[in-house]
Amino acid sequence: MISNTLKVERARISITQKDLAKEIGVSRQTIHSIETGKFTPSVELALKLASFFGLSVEELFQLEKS
Amino acid sequence: MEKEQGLLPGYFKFIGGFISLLCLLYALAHHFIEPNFYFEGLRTPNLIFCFGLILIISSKERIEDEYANQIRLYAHSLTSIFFITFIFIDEIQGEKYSFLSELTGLLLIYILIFYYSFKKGIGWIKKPGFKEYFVGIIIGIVLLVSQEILWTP
Repeated sequence: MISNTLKVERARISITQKDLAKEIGVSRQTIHSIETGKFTPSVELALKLASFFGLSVEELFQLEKS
Repeated sequence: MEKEQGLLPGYFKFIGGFISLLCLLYALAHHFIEPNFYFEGLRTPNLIFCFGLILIISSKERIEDEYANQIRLYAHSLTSIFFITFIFIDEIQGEKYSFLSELTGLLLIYILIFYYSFKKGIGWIKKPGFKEYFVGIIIGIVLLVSQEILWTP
C-alpha cells in the first residue's frame, strides 16, 4: 500500500486540485484519486508531482509497512 | 503523460452523442407519435444508435491520462462479464437475432460504468455497496424496458 502527502503539500502552497491538475497535465479526478489512495500513479506522474513540489518521490510517496 | 494512441479525437464524442440522440428521438417519436415512420422494424436507427455509442466510447476524454486509461480497462473488464452472461442466457434460452439489442445494452452499460467510475473512482468495482447494487438493478430494468419500447417494432 502506498500513501502520500499530496494533500498536505498542496495545502502548503495553497493550490487547488484543479490548478495542480492543469500544471501537471492530468484531470482533476486523477489528483483526487491519488490523494484518496484510490489510484497509484505511474513513475512518470509521481516524478512530475514530486518535481512540482520540489521534493523527492520518496518524500511525497511512502510505502506503508503492513 | 501517457497518451492513448488508438482513440479518435475528442470531438468524435460529440458527433457520436448527436447521432445517438437523433436516433433516440426518432425511436421515441416512432413509439409515441407516429408508428409508421420510414424505417420499419427500427433496425436501421438502432444500428446508427449503436454506431453513435461506439464513437462515444472510442474517442478521447477531454484530458486523456493514465487514470482515464485505467478506468477504461476496468470498464472493459466489467462489461465483458455482462457480455459473457448474455451469451450464456442466449444459449440457455435459444434466442436468435438478439445481437443488436444486446450490443446496445452492452455499449450503454460500458458508458455508464466508465463515466460513473471516472467521477467516483474505481473503488466501487472492487467492493460494491448497497447503493451500487440498487442503482445497478434499477438501471438494468430501465434498459430492458427501454429496449422493448424503443427498438421493438
